[in-house]
Amino acid sequence: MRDVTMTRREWLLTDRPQSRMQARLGRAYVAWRRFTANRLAVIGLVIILGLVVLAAFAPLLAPHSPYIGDLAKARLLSPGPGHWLGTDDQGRDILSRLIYGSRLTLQVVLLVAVIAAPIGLLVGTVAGYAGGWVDAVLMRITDIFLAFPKLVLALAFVAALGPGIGNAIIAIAITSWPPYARIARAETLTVRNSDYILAVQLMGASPWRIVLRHIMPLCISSLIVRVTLDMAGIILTAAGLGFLGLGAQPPLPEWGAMIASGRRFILDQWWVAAAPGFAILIVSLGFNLLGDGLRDALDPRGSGQ
Amino acid sequence: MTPALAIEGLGVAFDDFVALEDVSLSVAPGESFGLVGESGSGKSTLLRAVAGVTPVSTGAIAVDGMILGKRRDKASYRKVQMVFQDPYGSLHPRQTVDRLLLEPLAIHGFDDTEGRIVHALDEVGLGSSFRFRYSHQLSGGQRQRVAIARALILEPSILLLDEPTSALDASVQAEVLNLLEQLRAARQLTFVMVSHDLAVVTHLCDRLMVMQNGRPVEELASADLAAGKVTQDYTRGLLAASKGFRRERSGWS
Amino acid sequence: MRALLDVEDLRVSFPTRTGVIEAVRGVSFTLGRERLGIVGESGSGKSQTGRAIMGLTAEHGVIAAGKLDFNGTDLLKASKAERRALRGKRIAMVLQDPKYSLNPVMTIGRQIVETLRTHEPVGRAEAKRRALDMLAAVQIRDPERVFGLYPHEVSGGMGQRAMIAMMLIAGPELLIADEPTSALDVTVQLDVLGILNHLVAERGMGLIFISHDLRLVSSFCDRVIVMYAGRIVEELPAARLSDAQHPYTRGLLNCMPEIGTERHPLPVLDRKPEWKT
Repeated sequence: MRDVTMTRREWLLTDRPQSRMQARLGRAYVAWRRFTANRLAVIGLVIILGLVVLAAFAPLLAPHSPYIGDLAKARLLSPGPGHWLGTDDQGRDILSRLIYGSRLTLQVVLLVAVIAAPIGLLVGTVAGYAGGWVDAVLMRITDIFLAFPKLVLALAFVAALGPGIGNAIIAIAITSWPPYARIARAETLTVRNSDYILAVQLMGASPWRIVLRHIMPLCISSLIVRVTLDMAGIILTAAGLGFLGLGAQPPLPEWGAMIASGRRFILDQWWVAAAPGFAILIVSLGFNLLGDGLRDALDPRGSGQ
Repeated sequence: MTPALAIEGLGVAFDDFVALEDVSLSVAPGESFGLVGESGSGKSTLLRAVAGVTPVSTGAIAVDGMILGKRRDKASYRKVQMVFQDPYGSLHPRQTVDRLLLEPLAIHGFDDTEGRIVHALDEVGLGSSFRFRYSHQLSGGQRQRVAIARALILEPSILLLDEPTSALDASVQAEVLNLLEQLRAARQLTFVMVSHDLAVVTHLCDRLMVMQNGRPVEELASADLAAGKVTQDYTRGLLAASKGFRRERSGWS
Repeated sequence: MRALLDVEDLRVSFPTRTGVIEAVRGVSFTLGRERLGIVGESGSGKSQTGRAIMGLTAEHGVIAAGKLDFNGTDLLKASKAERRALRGKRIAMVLQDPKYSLNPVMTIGRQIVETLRTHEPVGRAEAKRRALDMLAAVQIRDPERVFGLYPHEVSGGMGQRAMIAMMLIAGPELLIADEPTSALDVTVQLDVLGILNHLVAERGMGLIFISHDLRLVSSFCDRVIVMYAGRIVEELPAARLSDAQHPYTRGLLNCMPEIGTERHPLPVLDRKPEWKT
C-alpha cells in the first residue's frame, strides 16, 4: 500500500478512491467546494441554518411567552428595550412570536417538501419512462392541477378540509407537486433512450428497478434545486392562507397570520405587520440563494472538471 | 451442432418504415461474425433486435436453439449481452464502476459479488484501483473496458458489439480489439460485431455479412473479402472506399 | 512565393480551477497554397491549433505565439472586428458534423446567400445565382431543389457538401477542415474529399486538414504534421509516410488493422513520457 500519508483533502479529491465510502465522500466534497465558492449561496445557507437553530431553541431564545401578553400595560408598544420588536394588540412580544413562528414556517416547508417532491418525482419519472397511455393519463392529471392558480386551488382545498395549519400544509402539498412531475418527466425523457439505460434493460432489469434505481437519482439534483427555489413560494402561500384566516388559527404565531392581524394598525403601529413581513422576506431570500447555489453545485455538467 | 445464434427471416418495421427485411443468418458457437454496412443499412437494428430492445415484426431469433419470445425472461437476457459504440454514453454518469458492475449481479441474484467484480476488472486489465471511480474519471478506452466487464460479468454466451471501437483513438482501438480477441479465446464467446470499418471487421471476425438498406447484400468469409473474392458491386465499392482516398479516382484533377 | 500562413511557437492554454491546461505547446509551421494535414489523437491539440488560427478559441483560452501571420495580416494584433471580417471571407472552416454546424431553421440556400452578402455587397439575384453555381460546384445534381431545403431534409453527405459550398462561396484563401468527413459513410466520405480536393486545387487555396486518421490524411494531403500532447512530433511529406522516424508516428501507423494482413494481437502503442517534452 501507499506509505505516504495523504492529507484529508487529497484523500477526498483522489481520482482513485479505495472504497465506496471514499468515492461518495469525495463526490460530496467536490460539490461542497463548488457550493462554498459561491458567497451568496453560503449566505443563504447561513440564513436557513439560523432559522433551524431558532426553531430548535425557541424556548431558550424567546424572551417572553408567545401566547400570553400583558393587555393592561404592554399593548402595541413600539420597539425598544424589553420588547426589541415591540408588542402587538394583545400585548404579546413580537420577537418571541417570530421566534416561535419559525417552528411553524419550518414545519410547513419541510412537510410540503417531503410530501410534494416524492409525489412529483414518482409521477414524472413513471410517466416519462412508461410513455404511451400511462404518460398521457398522468400528464393530463398534472395539467389539470397546473391549470389552476396555486393559491386559488389551495384555498379550495382548505375550504373543503376546514381551516387549520395541518390542512393548509396538505393543501399546499397537493397543489405544488405538478411542476416537479413536469421537471422529472422532462429529465426522464432525456435519459430514457440513453445507452446506459438500454444497458440495464439488456441485463433484464424490471421497469420499476430502472425507474427507481437508475432514473430517479438523475432527476433528484434538479428537483432538489427546484424545491429549494420553491420554498419561498411555499412560505408565501402558507402566509397567504394565514393572512386570509384559512391557515394557522389564533393564537398560533404563524407569520402570515401575524401580518393579517397587524394590518389593522399598519399606519400607526407599522412594526406589528412589518416584523413578520421582514422575517418572511429574509427566509424566502435565504431559500432562493441556497437554491441558486445548489443548482450550480449539483449541476452534473460541472462534475467532470 | 446447434448454432449459437440463428436468425430466420427477420424483419423490423417502425410504423411504415421498414428498417430490416428478411434477414437470415447463423453463427456457430465460438465464431465471430461481422455485420458491415453504411448508415441506414439496418446493421444496428439487427443487433438491437437480437439484444431484445427493438421489437421484431416478423421472423424468429434463436439463441442456443431456444427461440426467443416477444417477452423475454431474465435468463435469456443473461445469455446475450452488448457493448455499445459510445463509451461516454453507455455508463451511468452517477454510478461508480463498482455500482455499474454490481447491478447486473444484483438483478440476476449472483453470489460472491465481491469476488466477481474484482475478477471482472482484472480480466479487462483495469485492476481494482478503478473500482470506485466514476465514469467521468476514466478515459474513453477505460470506459469501454468497463463496459466490456459489465457485459461479461453475467457470463453470456453471445457478446454483441456495436461499433465498439469507432469512438476511440487508433492506438486505444488496437488495445480494445486485442482485449476482445483474448477474451473470446479464453471464454469461448460468440461475437456478433457491427462496424462500418472493413479493416476492423476482417481483423476480428471470421465471417461477415454486408448489408444495405435493411437487406443482406452478401455473406462471405473475411479471408475472401481480403482476397478480393466478392460477388456484389456494393461490396466491391466498400472495399475500394476503405483503401483510402486516391486522387486519380476523383477524375477531375 | 511568400507563405500564406506563418505560425511560430503557437501556444493555447486554458486556465481552470485546478491549474492551467496547455492544449497547444509551441507549434510552428508555414503553409503555402498546399494541402497540409494535421494528425493526432484526442487531446493532441490539433483542433485547438485550427481554432486558434480561425479565431474561435473559447472565451477563457489564452493564445500566445511568436508569430501568427496570415498573408501579411498579424492575427495576434487584429481586433475582434477585423478577425470577424477575416473569418468567412478569407479564412473559412468546415466542421465535423453538418447537423450541428448548419442552422436548422434556415434553408440551405438562404444560409449560403446570407454568408455571401455578409462579406460582399451583391444583389439578391446575383447572390442567388452564385449560390446555385456553388452548389453545382460541390457536385449537387439538383441545386435549385437543394437551395430550398432545410438542413434536416438532406443526408449527411449532402449537408457536408452544402457546408463546403457555404464556406467557399466568399472565395477564402485558406480553408481549415476539422474532421470534415468523420461523420460520413465511407463511400460518401470519398465523394466529399474528391470535391474538396478539386476545389482546393482549382481555386489555389491553402488547406489545413485536421483528422485523427493518419492514412486518410496521408492519402489526401501533400504534407503531414503529426501532433502529440500539444506538440509537433514529426513533419513529413505525405508520400513518405512509411519512412516516418518518430516512434509515435510509426506506432500510430502500425496499430491500425489492415485488410489482408493477419496480425494477432495488434501491436499497441507504448507511450513514452519523453515524447511529451
